[in-house]
Amino acid sequence: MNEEILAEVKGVSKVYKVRTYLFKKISFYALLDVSLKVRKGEVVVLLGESGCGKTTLGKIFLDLEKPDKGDVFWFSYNLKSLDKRLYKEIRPKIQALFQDSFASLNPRFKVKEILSEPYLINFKSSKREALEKALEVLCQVGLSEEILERYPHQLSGGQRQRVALARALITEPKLIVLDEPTSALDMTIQSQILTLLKRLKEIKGLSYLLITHSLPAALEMADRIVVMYLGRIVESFKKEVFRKIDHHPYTKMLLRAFPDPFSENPPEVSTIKGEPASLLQRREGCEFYPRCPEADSLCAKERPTLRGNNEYQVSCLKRPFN
Amino acid sequence: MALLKIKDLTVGIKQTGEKILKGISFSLNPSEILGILGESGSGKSLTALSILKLLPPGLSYFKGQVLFEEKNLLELEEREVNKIRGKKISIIFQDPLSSLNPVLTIEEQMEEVFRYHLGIKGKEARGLIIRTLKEVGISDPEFRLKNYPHELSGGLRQRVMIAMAIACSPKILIADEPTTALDLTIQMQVLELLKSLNQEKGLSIIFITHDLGILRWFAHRILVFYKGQILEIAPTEKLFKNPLHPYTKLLFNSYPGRKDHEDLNLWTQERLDQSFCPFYTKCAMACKESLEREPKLREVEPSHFVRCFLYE
Repeated sequence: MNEEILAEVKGVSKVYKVRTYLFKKISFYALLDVSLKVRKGEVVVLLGESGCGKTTLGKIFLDLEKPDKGDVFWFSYNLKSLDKRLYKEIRPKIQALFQDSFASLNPRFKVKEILSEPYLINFKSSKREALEKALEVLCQVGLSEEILERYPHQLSGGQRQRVALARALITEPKLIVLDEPTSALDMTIQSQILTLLKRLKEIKGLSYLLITHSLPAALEMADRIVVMYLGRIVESFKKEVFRKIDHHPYTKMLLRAFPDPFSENPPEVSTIKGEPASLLQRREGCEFYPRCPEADSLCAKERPTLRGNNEYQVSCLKRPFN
Repeated sequence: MALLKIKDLTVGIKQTGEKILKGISFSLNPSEILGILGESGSGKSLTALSILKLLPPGLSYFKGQVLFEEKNLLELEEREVNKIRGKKISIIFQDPLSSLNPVLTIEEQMEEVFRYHLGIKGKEARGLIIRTLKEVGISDPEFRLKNYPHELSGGLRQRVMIAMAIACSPKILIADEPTTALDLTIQMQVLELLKSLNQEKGLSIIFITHDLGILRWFAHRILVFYKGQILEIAPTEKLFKNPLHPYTKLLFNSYPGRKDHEDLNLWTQERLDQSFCPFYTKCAMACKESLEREPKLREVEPSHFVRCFLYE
């Protein structure tokens, strides 16, 4: 197979504990039995509302969180049994870009230090080499040399996000996890960053795991879109089939409710029922049941599983495959 | 007759004399939803605050009038403005958690509104509170009365905020990014609520946002703000069919999936800014005139105003 798998999670679950009252703690599942692959050259988009577990899944892909159940693979090595030396070697190949670049850039470092630090650590190079490399990635993200001498607070939001991206690029990664990379930016800057990400992907053959709640950004960037609801994947499809398939009722609700400024059709709000349930109180049967317009009595009892083919997988009793 | 009229409103930093809002003029018609579109720092929120005389410390009014019911709010005593604020003109913000008092129950916060503006207390107030909560679509309001803000979901909190804002049946509601912090489905439910208040009670709304989709389907008329000035005013359909100002066009083309943005990167190269046009440095059509004099907001088509030399 020429479809090289860069990173994969298999049957991953993540439990968090919250303190409710003094010493009383309750635990809840932020992720439940999630499996997902990112292939070489592919942009996978995780789409979902707040609290659906998309950021947690991103962190598990980055090995910033350990799953409580299930396995994580990088370049088909299982992280559980990976020895330290090899881990160090492949760690720089998977990088991250977060929403708030102000929080992720060291305020006491100049841009040149921010950029060269990961290079010095990972490649044991000389300072001069690191600086040359820093200049190279800075050009790739569309910034000029004078930025090197500045501190993060002297940069605009768009420039900061570009610096954070340059820092991710300096270790020559294969996969970048982008967690809401544009949602803190103004519209015009957003589109610049998205365009830049697309161009870099073409030039460098990168893959992205893009986490977002923005439907237009998802459609613009994605090869595959994965929709999450309450810690589970409810649907996963390739972008080519986006218009052709009978979507999961939740995705349908999102698509109908989305106010598209350049479409002829106003958003349909009447189809929205209720609010997402709490992660603390899980129910039997399908989790979307209370809000689903298509549900019947079977949905209340039986839990659907994610089934389908390479192009389209869905977790719903009212859809094919189930 | 316009319900609210803003004339040449100019606000700036007291110490340095630097202007932030530069001569904002517009009017709000009865039962109208007026959208204000702009990026961060364009002055859209400051406009909302200055209508109600809520300027942050350090800023002051340099010029202008805010005319409401034949009075200039900027000349009124604080005591008199207090009678208008929250009663005739209400405001809601993006983050309801920071606008609600965390140590008061919903009932206590809402009773305050009725007591202060209408002098209604106790049982009588409770009846009104329950009615208002029902109006904003909160199911079993009796049960919610004893809740504290942190016990409510984001959507419910924003509904409580709206309930407090409409408690005294105001004429105008200023909504400053009221749904930005909410998820899509909840966002649309809150918008639907505001729309029904507009249609059923004739509430006029000034709606501030940077979300094109929301303005397209929610506002009747749109003002486009940039660097403290209004660049374009048009009825919503007109603006989306035929945007005139180069900035509005850029905004629309920035929307994901609209255009390939290769050309956008060129526009970021800054020109030396010695011009009178606020958009000169980033304008694709930058013209010589804007180096000589200031472009004026001009009506180029019926009810479609634009501030650009291309249309003079």
